[in-house]
Amino acid sequence: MIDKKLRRLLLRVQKPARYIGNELGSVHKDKSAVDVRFAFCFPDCYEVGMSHLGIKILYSLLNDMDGVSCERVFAPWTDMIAEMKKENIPLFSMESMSPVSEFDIVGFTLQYEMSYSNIVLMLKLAGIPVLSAERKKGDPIICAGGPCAYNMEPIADFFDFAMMGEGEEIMGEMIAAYREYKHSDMTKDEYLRRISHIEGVYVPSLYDVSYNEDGTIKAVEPKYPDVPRTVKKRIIDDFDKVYTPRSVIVPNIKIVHDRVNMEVFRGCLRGCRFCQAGMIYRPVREKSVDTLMGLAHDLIAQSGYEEISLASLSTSDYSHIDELLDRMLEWSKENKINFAIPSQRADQFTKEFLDKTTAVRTSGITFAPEAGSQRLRDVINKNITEEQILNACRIALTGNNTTIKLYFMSGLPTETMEDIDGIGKLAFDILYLGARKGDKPKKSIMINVSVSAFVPKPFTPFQWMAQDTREKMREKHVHLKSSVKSRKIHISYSDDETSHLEAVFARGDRRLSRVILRAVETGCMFDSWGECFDFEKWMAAFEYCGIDPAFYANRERDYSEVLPWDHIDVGVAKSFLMRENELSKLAKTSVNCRDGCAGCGIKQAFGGEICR
Amino acid sequence: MPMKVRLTFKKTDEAVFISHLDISRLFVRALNRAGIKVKYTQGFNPHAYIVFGVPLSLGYESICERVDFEVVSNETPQEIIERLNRAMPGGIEITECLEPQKKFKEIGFARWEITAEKDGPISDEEIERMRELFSSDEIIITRETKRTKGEVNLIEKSRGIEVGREGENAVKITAALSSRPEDVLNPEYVVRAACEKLGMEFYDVFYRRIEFFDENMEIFR
Ligand code: SF4
Repeated sequence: MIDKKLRRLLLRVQKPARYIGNELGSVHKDKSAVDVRFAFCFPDCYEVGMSHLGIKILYSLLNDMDGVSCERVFAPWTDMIAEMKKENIPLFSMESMSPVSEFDIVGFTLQYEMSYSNIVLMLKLAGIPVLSAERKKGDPIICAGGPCAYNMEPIADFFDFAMMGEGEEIMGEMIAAYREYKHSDMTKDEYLRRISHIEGVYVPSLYDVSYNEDGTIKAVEPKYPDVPRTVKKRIIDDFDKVYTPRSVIVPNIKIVHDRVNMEVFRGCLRGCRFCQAGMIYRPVREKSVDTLMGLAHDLIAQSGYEEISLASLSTSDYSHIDELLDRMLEWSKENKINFAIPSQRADQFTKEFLDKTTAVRTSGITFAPEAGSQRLRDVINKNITEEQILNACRIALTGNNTTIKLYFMSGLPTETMEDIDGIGKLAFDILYLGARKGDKPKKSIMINVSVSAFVPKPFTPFQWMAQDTREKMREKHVHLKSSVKSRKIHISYSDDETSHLEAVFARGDRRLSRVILRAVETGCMFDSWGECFDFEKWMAAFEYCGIDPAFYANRERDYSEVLPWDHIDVGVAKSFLMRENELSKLAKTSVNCRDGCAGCGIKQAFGGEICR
Repeated sequence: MPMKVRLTFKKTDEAVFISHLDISRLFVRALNRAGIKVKYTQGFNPHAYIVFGVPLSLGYESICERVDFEVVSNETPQEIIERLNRAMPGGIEITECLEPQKKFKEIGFARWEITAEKDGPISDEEIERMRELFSSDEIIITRETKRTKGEVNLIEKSRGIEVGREGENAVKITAALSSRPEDVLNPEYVVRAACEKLGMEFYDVFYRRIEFFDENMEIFR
């Protein structure tokens, strides 16, 4: 399958195995035996894309369907792009190495805003017209899914449709509709109209967006009466019985998350006010311990991996966590398997919890206080006290562990320099835990403080708020750095340029697609990679298009303003988000979904039974 | 009873792009998938004790790679081969499972098959000149490794280099080259010698390792 030309080319690039595939667990269907070929595109390199859980689920789901094949496509790294251009090789898929332009449907997963340039890049490398309006019947249909699809306005012009939410049903309906289109004389316009009736399918070209003089949106109107005014996400009701692949592709090269990732539950019961995942994946739906144990066993046996990660937004919130940990511990000992829990809440971190996981933990322990003062933690509804954080760290520092990693955000609404000081103070308090007055801290302790700039996201209570300007971000960073003078506390910041752009695109509208096109024309790509990111080029692209990024990032919105994503319904009511935002201004917390119900609207949207 | 085994495996097709480091990770997983239990190292972070022979450069094929480990479950050699082959990705195939006879450090030579292809037809005269070159007593080449740079006599480090035609455009060179652990000669130097000494140019070169030998040119097992 690899011809001589490609072989020679592959020997000139770094990590050629990125482009080859044929890993164990990959599916190779005969292309003449299927009538719908789906190219699953991840707009980043192989090692990042293959670490992502969603791709594995959809890949199996689609390949399990009769007459459908799904192949993977990742963004070629810059050295490969240069070689492909030189040799005139278009973007190809991993499984059959066919040009992506040959596929029926090309689906992109939108995981983070900084991958938008790579979408355009990949379409261009594939030789597919970038704009939906320029693609005719016979060209591939380009669709999107994933968290950023909920506000895909900045890239709406590139896509024919997006799928909102979860599930095998929507995939099945989507494929069926495509078949009808492909095998009949239905026009592309008719097809798009037709699929706009599928619940959870959003066809951006079927909506007109008008603007006010001040640049805000006046209205988003469906073009035809049969096109739904709002598109509501689809959810899986019974997560225990949901389609879950029993086998995974095992990469031949090292990837970012090189282990089995097992999703314990979907959603999060916490309701942190900055967190988009916590809102868009509502409500919480769990798998049973038996299901999880069976799954863990199958996935480890099939993959040969020796490590499994219990993934979710907040794994220690799992309602049967003790039973799960006990059984995992016993099983993992017997089978020489490591198991890891990616995030722990400080208020649930006990000695017992530590003991159950230490045997198998390799790196330090991570907590996410998110804010340095109690007031600000209440503003964001984190619901963790300083006492609980210190307590958790005290426990974490028993035994061999000497490293603690703390995550914070800066630039949260209402934040003052005092809150920033609180970050340093908290780190110091942890450093001196256990030391008597006047004593030096324990020799080997290291506190890694990681501070990222707050990026306001759609569908969160903070969706109306302004992001700090870059100047403000830097000022706060300098302030923190100068107030913490211990070699045992290491502070790292997220890049303010990246955070700024993220904020622009997270809450962007359709006018931004021109900027993205321009940026890619001038060479922007792989923006989430420091070595590739070129902020100057991006700023030049904004300037060229006459668009002010501050309008999107640094402006506080009025409740009455039409937001670019108002016609998308994730089940969480806008009135709830407003209420939460108002509570945040008073530093008042809300109840989590286990202790009560804050009335977010999910029950109204999907039925009272849904929140168990 | 624990059993020491030495596998011979092929690394061909797409597997030539998997690096040496990735190959060892891949073997551990394949053994796990196949349910074959092997001896682990002791210590803080125990891992499967698996030792590979001489590393193979990225892009080269081989039909004679060797790897050693100790099996603590009870499979027969035939079962090991069958089960592992089912657990391997494309391009890797186990062909032999034997008890190790010699130590890896006793490897002396590796036989290579080098197919060098020209942009157009290769003449009989060119092939003849290559034959002559490789039957001389001395071909001095400059060898560069990560640490050293020096002149070596290619002929001294080889045991027979044969040249034959391979279709219209290519030659096939079969060469046994030093593969002693401290002195592994990359077959690239054979092609380089032809280019430097005879002014030839090749468009594409294909390397394949076909067998390992000890100092006395006995097959290494
Ligand atoms: S309806 Fe209530 S319980 Fe359900 S997700 Fe919303 S806040 Fe939580």
